[in-house]
Amino acid sequence: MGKRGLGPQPESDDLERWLEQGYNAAFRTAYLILHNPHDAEEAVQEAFLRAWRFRASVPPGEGVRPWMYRVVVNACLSKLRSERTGRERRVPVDGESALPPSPAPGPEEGAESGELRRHVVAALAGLPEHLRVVVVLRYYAGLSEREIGTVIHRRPGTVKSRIHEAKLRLGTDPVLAEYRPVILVAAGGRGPE
Amino acid sequence: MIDDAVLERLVREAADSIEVPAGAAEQIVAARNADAPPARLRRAHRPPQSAKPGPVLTLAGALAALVGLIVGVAAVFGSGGGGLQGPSAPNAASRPSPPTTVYPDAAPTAGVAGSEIQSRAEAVPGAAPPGASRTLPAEVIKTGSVDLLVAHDALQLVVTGLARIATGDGGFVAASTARGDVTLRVPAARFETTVDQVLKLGTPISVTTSARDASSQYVDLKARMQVLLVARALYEQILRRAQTTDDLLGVKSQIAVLQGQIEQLQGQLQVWDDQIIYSTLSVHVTERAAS
Repeated sequence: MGKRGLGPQPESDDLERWLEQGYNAAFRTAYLILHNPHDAEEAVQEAFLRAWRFRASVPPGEGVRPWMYRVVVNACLSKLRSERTGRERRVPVDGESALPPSPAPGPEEGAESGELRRHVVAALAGLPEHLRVVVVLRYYAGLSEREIGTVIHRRPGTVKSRIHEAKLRLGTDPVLAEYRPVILVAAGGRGPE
Repeated sequence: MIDDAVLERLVREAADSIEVPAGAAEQIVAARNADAPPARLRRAHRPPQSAKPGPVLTLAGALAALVGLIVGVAAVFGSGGGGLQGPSAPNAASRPSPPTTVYPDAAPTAGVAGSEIQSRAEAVPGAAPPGASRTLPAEVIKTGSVDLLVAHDALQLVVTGLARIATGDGGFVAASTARGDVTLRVPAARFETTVDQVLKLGTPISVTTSARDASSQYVDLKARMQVLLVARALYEQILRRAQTTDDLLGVKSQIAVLQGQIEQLQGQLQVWDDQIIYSTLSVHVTERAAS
Protein backbone atom coordinates (compact mmCIF):
# COMPACT_ATOMS: atom_id res chain seq x y z
CA MET A 1 0.00 0.00 0.00
CA GLY A 2 1.64 3.22 -1.13
CA LYS A 3 2.22 5.98 1.34
CA ARG A 4 1.23 9.57 0.89
CA GLY A 5 3.91 12.13 1.57
CA LEU A 6 3.09 14.18 4.62
CA GLY A 7 5.82 15.74 6.64
CA PRO A 8 9.47 16.25 5.92
CA GLN A 9 12.45 15.07 7.86
CA PRO A 10 12.30 16.41 11.40
CA GLU A 11 15.66 18.04 10.89
CA SER A 12 14.22 20.38 8.30
CA ASP A 13 13.92 23.93 9.53
CA ASP A 14 12.28 25.19 6.37
CA LEU A 15 8.52 25.63 6.69
CA GLU A 16 8.19 26.26 2.99
CA ARG A 17 9.72 22.86 2.33
CA TRP A 18 7.37 21.24 4.84
CA LEU A 19 4.45 22.74 2.98
CA GLU A 20 5.80 21.82 -0.42
CA GLN A 21 6.15 18.20 0.65
CA GLY A 22 3.03 17.79 2.70
CA TYR A 23 0.34 20.40 2.11
CA ASN A 24 -1.60 18.65 -0.64
CA ALA A 25 -1.80 15.34 1.21
CA ALA A 26 -2.69 17.13 4.44
CA PHE A 27 -5.45 19.15 2.81
CA ARG A 28 -6.97 16.13 1.11
CA THR A 29 -6.81 14.14 4.33
CA ALA A 30 -8.55 16.97 6.16
CA TYR A 31 -11.14 17.36 3.42
CA LEU A 32 -12.02 13.68 3.50
CA ILE A 33 -12.50 13.89 7.26
CA LEU A 34 -14.30 17.24 7.40
CA HIS A 35 -16.08 17.29 4.04
CA ASN A 36 -15.77 21.04 3.87
CA PRO A 37 -12.99 22.92 2.05
CA HIS A 38 -12.97 25.92 4.35
CA ASP A 39 -12.74 23.86 7.51
CA ALA A 40 -10.12 21.63 5.90
CA GLU A 41 -8.04 24.65 4.94
CA GLU A 42 -8.26 26.09 8.43
CA ALA A 43 -7.47 22.79 10.06
CA VAL A 44 -4.40 22.27 7.90
CA GLN A 45 -3.19 25.79 8.53
CA GLU A 46 -3.51 25.26 12.24
CA ALA A 47 -1.88 21.86 12.01
CA PHE A 48 1.15 23.08 10.11
CA LEU A 49 1.68 26.02 12.41
CA ARG A 50 1.38 23.81 15.47
CA ALA A 51 3.69 21.23 13.99
CA TRP A 52 6.14 23.95 13.09
CA ARG A 53 6.03 25.39 16.58
CA PHE A 54 6.59 21.99 18.15
CA ARG A 55 8.87 20.60 15.48
CA ALA A 56 11.48 19.70 18.05
CA SER A 57 9.11 17.33 19.77
CA VAL A 58 8.72 14.46 17.35
CA PRO A 59 8.62 11.50 19.72
CA PRO A 60 11.67 9.29 19.34
CA GLY A 61 10.93 6.17 17.35
CA GLU A 62 7.51 7.31 16.21
CA GLY A 63 8.48 8.83 12.89
CA VAL A 64 7.52 12.17 11.49
CA ARG A 65 4.74 10.92 9.17
CA PRO A 66 2.44 9.52 11.85
CA TRP A 67 3.27 12.53 13.99
CA MET A 68 2.25 14.95 11.25
CA TYR A 69 -0.90 12.99 10.53
CA ARG A 70 -1.61 13.04 14.23
CA VAL A 71 -1.39 16.83 14.25
CA VAL A 72 -3.60 17.11 11.17
CA VAL A 73 -6.17 14.62 12.48
CA ASN A 74 -6.25 16.35 15.86
CA ALA A 75 -6.87 19.67 14.14
CA CYS A 76 -9.70 18.06 12.17
CA LEU A 77 -11.23 16.51 15.28
CA SER A 78 -10.98 19.86 16.99
CA LYS A 79 -12.92 21.35 14.06
CA LEU A 80 -15.57 18.69 14.38
CA ARG A 81 -15.87 19.41 18.08
CA SER A 82 -16.21 23.11 17.35
CA GLU A 83 -18.93 22.25 14.91
CA ARG A 84 -20.76 20.36 17.59
CA THR A 85 -20.66 23.40 19.85
CA GLY A 86 -22.50 25.34 17.18
CA ARG A 87 -19.73 27.79 16.46
CA GLU A 88 -18.95 26.59 13.00
CA ARG A 89 -20.80 25.03 10.15
CA ARG A 90 -19.28 22.03 8.42
CA VAL A 91 -21.68 21.10 5.69
CA PRO A 92 -20.76 22.96 2.54
CA VAL A 93 -23.36 25.18 0.96
CA ASP A 94 -24.24 25.00 -2.72
CA GLY A 95 -21.23 25.52 -4.92
CA GLU A 96 -18.81 24.94 -2.06
CA SER A 97 -16.79 21.88 -2.76
CA ALA A 98 -13.18 21.04 -3.31
CA LEU A 99 -14.23 18.54 -5.93
CA PRO A 100 -14.38 19.68 -9.54
CA PRO A 101 -17.95 20.83 -10.09
CA SER A 102 -18.38 19.35 -13.53
CA PRO A 103 -15.86 16.75 -14.55
CA ALA A 104 -15.10 17.24 -18.21
CA PRO A 105 -15.48 13.97 -20.08
CA GLY A 106 -12.29 13.03 -21.86
CA PRO A 107 -10.92 10.03 -23.64
CA GLU A 108 -9.85 8.41 -20.42
CA GLU A 109 -12.28 9.87 -17.98
CA GLY A 110 -15.99 10.17 -18.37
CA ALA A 111 -18.60 11.86 -16.28
CA GLU A 112 -19.17 8.57 -14.52
CA SER A 113 -15.71 8.74 -12.95
CA GLY A 114 -16.39 12.18 -11.57
CA GLU A 115 -19.72 11.06 -10.19
CA LEU A 116 -18.10 8.01 -8.63
CA ARG A 117 -15.48 10.15 -6.91
CA ARG A 118 -18.16 12.43 -5.53
CA HIS A 119 -20.04 9.39 -4.37
CA VAL A 120 -16.96 8.02 -2.61
CA VAL A 121 -16.38 11.30 -0.80
CA ALA A 122 -20.03 11.41 0.20
CA ALA A 123 -19.92 7.80 1.35
CA LEU A 124 -16.91 8.53 3.52
CA ALA A 125 -18.67 11.58 4.94
CA GLY A 126 -21.55 9.30 5.85
CA LEU A 127 -19.36 7.13 8.04
CA PRO A 128 -19.16 7.85 11.76
CA GLU A 129 -16.21 10.03 12.65
CA HIS A 130 -14.17 7.25 14.28
CA LEU A 131 -14.52 5.02 11.23
CA ARG A 132 -13.98 7.80 8.70
CA VAL A 133 -10.65 8.76 10.24
CA VAL A 134 -9.20 5.25 10.10
CA VAL A 135 -10.39 4.71 6.53
CA VAL A 136 -8.76 7.93 5.37
CA LEU A 137 -5.53 7.19 7.20
CA ARG A 138 -5.45 3.62 5.91
CA TYR A 139 -6.58 3.94 2.32
CA TYR A 140 -5.53 7.45 1.42
CA ALA A 141 -2.55 8.12 3.66
CA GLY A 142 -1.42 4.50 3.48
CA LEU A 143 -0.55 4.27 7.16
CA SER A 144 -0.22 0.86 8.78
CA GLU A 145 -2.60 -0.22 11.52
CA ARG A 146 0.14 0.34 14.06
CA GLU A 147 0.80 3.85 12.74
CA ILE A 148 -2.90 4.67 12.75
CA GLY A 149 -3.06 3.44 16.32
CA THR A 150 -0.32 5.91 17.16
CA VAL A 151 -2.24 8.71 15.48
CA ILE A 152 -5.56 8.08 17.19
CA HIS A 153 -4.26 6.66 20.46
CA ARG A 154 -5.78 3.25 20.00
CA ARG A 155 -4.41 -0.28 19.84
CA PRO A 156 -3.75 -1.79 16.40
CA GLY A 157 -6.46 -4.35 17.12
CA THR A 158 -8.98 -1.56 17.62
CA VAL A 159 -7.85 0.04 14.38
CA LYS A 160 -8.26 -3.26 12.59
CA SER A 161 -11.78 -3.77 13.88
CA ARG A 162 -12.74 -0.23 12.92
CA ILE A 163 -11.41 -0.73 9.41
CA HIS A 164 -13.37 -3.95 9.20
CA GLU A 165 -16.56 -2.25 10.33
CA ALA A 166 -16.03 0.60 7.88
CA LYS A 167 -15.55 -1.84 5.02
CA LEU A 168 -18.71 -3.65 5.99
CA ARG A 169 -20.64 -0.40 5.98
CA LEU A 170 -19.17 0.82 2.72
CA GLY A 171 -19.86 -2.60 1.21
CA THR A 172 -23.58 -2.04 1.70
CA ASP A 173 -23.43 0.98 -0.60
CA PRO A 174 -24.79 -0.29 -3.93
CA VAL A 175 -22.57 1.96 -6.04
CA LEU A 176 -19.37 1.01 -4.25
CA ALA A 177 -20.37 -2.64 -4.10
CA GLU A 178 -20.77 -2.73 -7.87
CA TYR A 179 -17.33 -1.31 -8.48
CA ARG A 180 -15.30 -4.18 -9.86
CA PRO A 181 -11.59 -4.86 -9.37
CA VAL A 182 -11.27 -5.57 -13.09
CA ILE A 183 -11.17 -1.80 -13.63
CA LEU A 184 -8.39 -1.63 -11.07
CA VAL A 185 -6.30 -4.08 -13.05
CA ALA A 186 -6.89 -2.17 -16.27
CA ALA A 187 -5.90 1.14 -14.73
CA GLY A 188 -2.86 -0.08 -12.82
CA GLY A 189 -1.71 0.73 -9.31
CA ARG A 190 -0.64 4.05 -7.87
CA GLY A 191 2.59 4.91 -6.22
CA PRO A 192 3.29 7.40 -3.51
CA GLU A 193 2.74 11.02 -4.27
CA MET B 1 -17.62 -6.41 2.34
CA ILE B 2 -15.76 -4.12 0.01
CA ASP B 3 -12.35 -5.30 -1.15
CA ASP B 4 -9.21 -3.68 0.27
CA ALA B 5 -7.63 -2.89 -3.09
CA VAL B 6 -10.88 -1.56 -4.48
CA LEU B 7 -11.45 0.68 -1.51
CA GLU B 8 -7.90 1.97 -1.68
CA ARG B 9 -8.26 2.82 -5.33
CA LEU B 10 -11.62 4.49 -4.84
CA VAL B 11 -10.46 6.57 -1.90
CA ARG B 12 -7.24 7.63 -3.54
CA GLU B 13 -8.87 8.57 -6.81
CA ALA B 14 -11.51 10.53 -4.96
CA ALA B 15 -8.86 12.24 -2.86
CA ASP B 16 -6.69 13.05 -5.84
CA SER B 17 -9.61 14.76 -7.51
CA ILE B 18 -9.94 17.16 -4.59
CA GLU B 19 -8.72 20.56 -5.61
CA VAL B 20 -6.15 22.05 -3.28
CA PRO B 21 -6.72 25.76 -2.59
CA ALA B 22 -4.25 28.02 -4.33
CA GLY B 23 -2.10 30.23 -2.15
CA ALA B 24 -2.96 28.42 1.07
CA ALA B 25 0.62 27.40 1.74
CA GLU B 26 1.77 31.01 1.30
CA GLN B 27 -0.82 32.10 3.83
CA ILE B 28 0.56 29.64 6.36
CA VAL B 29 4.03 31.07 5.87
CA ALA B 30 2.61 34.57 6.27
CA ALA B 31 0.80 33.51 9.44
CA ARG B 32 4.01 32.03 10.79
CA ASN B 33 5.87 35.24 10.02
CA ALA B 34 3.17 37.34 11.62
CA ASP B 35 2.79 34.88 14.49
CA ALA B 36 -0.96 35.26 14.07
CA PRO B 37 -3.58 32.57 14.54
CA PRO B 38 -4.29 31.15 11.11
CA ALA B 39 -8.01 31.23 11.56
CA ARG B 40 -7.96 35.00 11.56
CA LEU B 41 -6.51 34.99 8.10
CA ARG B 42 -9.19 32.70 6.82
CA ARG B 43 -12.27 34.16 8.39
CA ALA B 44 -12.66 36.74 5.69
CA HIS B 45 -12.79 34.00 3.07
CA ARG B 46 -15.54 32.06 4.74
CA PRO B 47 -19.04 32.48 3.41
CA PRO B 48 -21.39 34.44 5.64
CA GLN B 49 -23.05 32.37 8.31
CA SER B 50 -26.76 32.06 8.27
CA ALA B 51 -28.54 34.11 10.91
CA LYS B 52 -30.83 31.19 11.51
CA PRO B 53 -29.86 29.24 14.65
CA GLY B 54 -28.21 25.99 13.68
CA PRO B 55 -29.22 22.58 14.90
CA VAL B 56 -26.48 22.56 17.49
CA LEU B 57 -27.80 25.74 19.03
CA THR B 58 -31.18 24.14 19.14
CA LEU B 59 -29.57 21.17 20.83
CA ALA B 60 -27.94 23.50 23.35
CA GLY B 61 -31.38 24.88 24.14
CA ALA B 62 -32.72 21.40 24.55
CA LEU B 63 -29.87 20.53 26.87
CA ALA B 64 -30.53 23.65 28.90
CA ALA B 65 -34.13 22.54 29.20
CA LEU B 66 -32.86 19.10 30.19
CA VAL B 67 -30.83 20.66 33.00
CA GLY B 68 -33.94 22.33 34.34
CA LEU B 69 -35.82 19.09 34.10
CA ILE B 70 -33.06 17.13 35.76
CA VAL B 71 -32.68 19.63 38.57
CA GLY B 72 -36.40 19.34 39.17
CA VAL B 73 -36.30 15.58 39.10
CA ALA B 74 -33.28 15.55 41.39
CA ALA B 75 -35.13 17.73 43.85
CA VAL B 76 -38.13 15.43 43.78
CA PHE B 77 -36.05 12.34 44.36
CA GLY B 78 -33.78 14.03 46.88
CA SER B 79 -30.56 13.24 45.07
CA GLY B 80 -28.73 16.04 46.80
CA GLY B 81 -27.29 17.25 43.49
CA GLY B 82 -24.08 15.32 43.94
CA GLY B 83 -23.78 14.67 40.25
CA LEU B 84 -23.16 18.31 39.59
CA GLN B 85 -20.14 18.57 41.79
CA GLY B 86 -17.73 16.18 40.20
CA PRO B 87 -14.80 14.76 42.11
CA SER B 88 -12.89 16.85 44.56
CA ALA B 89 -9.98 18.93 43.38
CA PRO B 90 -6.63 17.23 43.35
CA ASN B 91 -3.81 18.13 45.65
CA ALA B 92 -1.41 20.56 44.05
CA ALA B 93 1.40 18.11 44.60
CA SER B 94 -0.42 15.42 42.64
CA ARG B 95 0.03 17.11 39.29
CA PRO B 96 1.10 14.54 36.71
CA SER B 97 4.75 14.49 35.85
CA PRO B 98 5.73 16.81 33.04
CA PRO B 99 5.72 15.06 29.69
CA THR B 100 9.00 14.34 28.02
CA THR B 101 7.59 15.12 24.60
CA VAL B 102 5.05 17.61 23.40
CA TYR B 103 2.10 16.62 21.28
CA PRO B 104 0.52 19.65 19.69
CA ASP B 105 -3.13 19.50 20.58
CA ALA B 106 -2.76 15.89 21.58
CA ALA B 107 -5.88 13.84 21.20
CA PRO B 108 -7.74 13.68 24.45
CA THR B 109 -8.73 10.89 26.80
CA ALA B 110 -6.66 8.00 25.51
CA GLY B 111 -4.34 6.47 27.98
CA VAL B 112 -5.34 8.79 30.80
CA ALA B 113 -7.32 7.59 33.74
CA GLY B 114 -10.79 9.06 33.74
CA SER B 115 -10.58 10.14 37.35
CA GLU B 116 -7.37 11.97 36.65
CA ILE B 117 -8.87 13.79 33.70
CA GLN B 118 -11.92 14.58 35.74
CA SER B 119 -9.80 15.98 38.51
CA ARG B 120 -7.95 18.24 36.13
CA ALA B 121 -11.06 19.22 34.27
CA GLU B 122 -12.77 20.15 37.48
CA ALA B 123 -9.69 21.74 38.99
CA VAL B 124 -10.23 24.78 41.16
CA PRO B 125 -7.76 27.67 41.46
CA GLY B 126 -6.31 26.21 44.62
CA ALA B 127 -5.24 23.14 42.72
CA ALA B 128 -3.10 25.08 40.28
CA PRO B 129 0.65 24.89 40.68
CA PRO B 130 2.57 27.69 42.36
CA GLY B 131 2.58 30.76 40.17
CA ALA B 132 -0.01 29.38 37.79
CA SER B 133 -2.46 31.66 36.08
CA ARG B 134 -5.83 30.37 37.22
CA THR B 135 -6.40 33.62 39.08
CA LEU B 136 -6.27 35.61 35.84
CA PRO B 137 -9.55 37.31 34.97
CA ALA B 138 -9.74 35.36 31.71
CA GLU B 139 -8.64 32.00 30.41
CA VAL B 140 -5.65 33.05 28.38
CA ILE B 141 -3.33 30.83 26.39
CA LYS B 142 0.12 32.35 26.15
CA THR B 143 2.78 31.19 23.75
CA GLY B 144 6.06 32.59 22.60
CA SER B 145 9.11 31.95 20.47
CA VAL B 146 12.66 33.17 20.95
CA ASP B 147 15.67 32.82 18.69
CA LEU B 148 18.89 33.29 20.64
CA LEU B 149 22.42 33.77 19.36
CA VAL B 150 25.03 32.63 21.88
CA ALA B 151 28.80 32.39 22.07
CA HIS B 152 30.66 29.58 20.35
CA ASP B 153 30.61 26.37 22.39
CA ALA B 154 28.04 27.85 24.78
CA LEU B 155 25.07 25.84 23.49
CA GLN B 156 25.02 23.26 26.25
CA LEU B 157 25.55 25.90 28.89
CA VAL B 158 22.63 27.95 27.61
CA VAL B 159 20.37 24.92 27.35
CA THR B 160 21.17 24.11 30.96
CA GLY B 161 20.42 27.71 31.84
CA LEU B 162 17.06 27.48 30.10
CA ALA B 163 16.17 24.41 32.12
CA ARG B 164 17.19 26.20 35.30
CA ILE B 165 15.01 29.19 34.43
CA ALA B 166 12.02 26.99 33.66
CA THR B 167 12.26 24.96 36.84
CA GLY B 168 13.00 28.08 38.87
CA ASP B 169 9.75 29.57 37.62
CA GLY B 170 7.78 26.47 38.53
CA GLY B 171 7.83 25.03 35.04
CA PHE B 172 9.68 22.34 33.19
CA VAL B 173 11.45 21.50 29.94
CA ALA B 174 8.91 19.83 27.69
CA ALA B 175 11.33 19.01 24.90
CA SER B 176 14.93 19.58 24.03
CA THR B 177 17.15 18.63 21.14
CA ALA B 178 20.88 18.57 20.68
CA ARG B 179 20.44 21.16 17.95
CA GLY B 180 19.34 23.78 20.44
CA ASP B 181 15.56 23.63 20.15
CA VAL B 182 14.12 23.79 23.63
CA THR B 183 10.46 23.96 24.57
CA LEU B 184 9.73 25.35 28.00
CA ARG B 185 6.40 25.14 29.84
CA VAL B 186 6.03 27.64 32.63
CA PRO B 187 3.10 28.80 34.76
CA ALA B 188 1.28 31.50 32.85
CA ALA B 189 1.76 34.07 35.59
CA ARG B 190 5.52 33.66 35.22
CA PHE B 191 5.59 33.69 31.44
CA GLU B 192 6.78 37.26 30.94
CA THR B 193 9.43 36.88 33.64
CA THR B 194 10.63 33.72 31.99
CA VAL B 195 10.91 35.42 28.61
CA ASP B 196 12.91 38.27 30.17
CA GLN B 197 15.33 35.82 31.79
CA VAL B 198 15.71 33.80 28.61
CA LEU B 199 16.59 36.90 26.61
CA LYS B 200 19.50 37.57 28.97
CA LEU B 201 21.16 34.28 28.05
CA GLY B 202 22.24 35.51 24.64
CA THR B 203 21.61 37.96 21.84
CA PRO B 204 17.95 37.82 20.82
CA ILE B 205 17.49 37.48 17.09
CA SER B 206 13.73 37.38 17.20
CA VAL B 207 11.13 37.37 19.94
CA THR B 208 7.44 36.77 19.45
CA THR B 209 4.76 36.28 22.07
CA SER B 210 1.02 35.96 21.84
CA ALA B 211 -1.90 35.66 24.21
CA ARG B 212 -5.25 34.23 23.15
CA ASP B 213 -8.36 34.65 25.23
CA ALA B 214 -10.06 31.25 25.36
CA SER B 215 -12.63 32.16 28.02
CA SER B 216 -15.75 31.66 25.95
CA GLN B 217 -14.72 28.24 24.64
CA TYR B 218 -13.59 27.15 28.08
CA VAL B 219 -16.79 28.22 29.81
CA ASP B 220 -18.82 26.57 27.09
CA LEU B 221 -16.99 23.29 27.57
CA LYS B 222 -17.50 23.42 31.32
CA ALA B 223 -21.20 24.08 30.86
CA ARG B 224 -21.56 21.18 28.47
CA MET B 225 -19.71 18.97 30.91
CA GLN B 226 -22.11 19.85 33.72
CA VAL B 227 -25.11 19.11 31.55
CA LEU B 228 -23.71 15.70 30.66
CA LEU B 229 -22.83 14.88 34.27
CA VAL B 230 -26.35 15.72 35.35
CA ALA B 231 -27.83 13.64 32.55
CA ARG B 232 -25.66 10.68 33.49
CA ALA B 233 -26.68 10.98 37.14
CA LEU B 234 -30.31 10.93 36.10
CA TYR B 235 -29.86 7.82 33.98
CA GLU B 236 -28.04 6.13 36.84
CA GLN B 237 -31.04 6.79 39.04
CA ILE B 238 -33.31 5.32 36.39
CA LEU B 239 -30.99 2.32 36.07
CA ARG B 240 -31.44 1.46 39.72
CA ARG B 241 -35.20 1.25 39.18
CA ALA B 242 -35.12 -0.72 35.94
CA GLN B 243 -37.51 -3.66 36.13
CA THR B 244 -36.92 -5.53 32.88
CA THR B 245 -33.85 -6.64 31.00
CA ASP B 246 -34.81 -4.44 28.06
CA ASP B 247 -35.02 -1.41 30.33
CA LEU B 248 -31.70 -2.31 31.89
CA LEU B 249 -29.93 -2.64 28.55
CA GLY B 250 -31.52 0.49 27.13
CA VAL B 251 -30.52 2.66 30.07
CA LYS B 252 -27.03 1.18 30.19
CA SER B 253 -26.63 1.98 26.52
CA GLN B 254 -27.61 5.60 27.17
CA ILE B 255 -25.16 5.81 30.06
CA ALA B 256 -22.40 4.43 27.86
CA VAL B 257 -23.09 7.08 25.22
CA LEU B 258 -23.06 9.81 27.83
CA GLN B 259 -19.90 8.41 29.36
CA GLY B 260 -18.17 8.57 25.99
CA GLN B 261 -19.20 12.19 25.54
CA ILE B 262 -18.09 13.03 29.07
CA GLU B 263 -14.69 11.47 28.55
CA GLN B 264 -14.27 13.33 25.29
CA LEU B 265 -15.08 16.62 26.98
CA GLN B 266 -12.79 15.77 29.89
CA GLY B 267 -9.99 15.27 27.42
CA GLN B 268 -10.67 18.61 25.80
CA LEU B 269 -10.80 20.33 29.16
CA GLN B 270 -7.54 18.69 30.10
CA VAL B 271 -5.91 20.09 26.99
CA TRP B 272 -7.35 23.54 27.66
CA ASP B 273 -6.27 23.40 31.30
CA ASP B 274 -2.80 22.40 30.30
CA GLN B 275 -2.47 25.18 27.76
CA ILE B 276 -3.95 27.80 30.06
CA ILE B 277 -2.06 26.90 33.21
CA TYR B 278 1.25 26.38 31.49
CA SER B 279 2.44 28.81 28.82
CA THR B 280 4.71 27.48 26.11
CA LEU B 281 7.94 29.13 25.12
CA SER B 282 9.89 27.71 22.19
CA VAL B 283 13.55 28.69 22.24
CA HIS B 284 15.96 28.13 19.41
CA VAL B 285 19.60 28.55 20.37
CA THR B 286 22.25 29.15 17.74
CA GLU B 287 25.96 29.28 18.43
CA ARG B 288 28.16 31.92 16.85
CA ALA B 289 30.72 30.59 14.43
CA ALA B 290 34.21 30.08 15.82
CA SER B 291 36.37 33.15 15.24
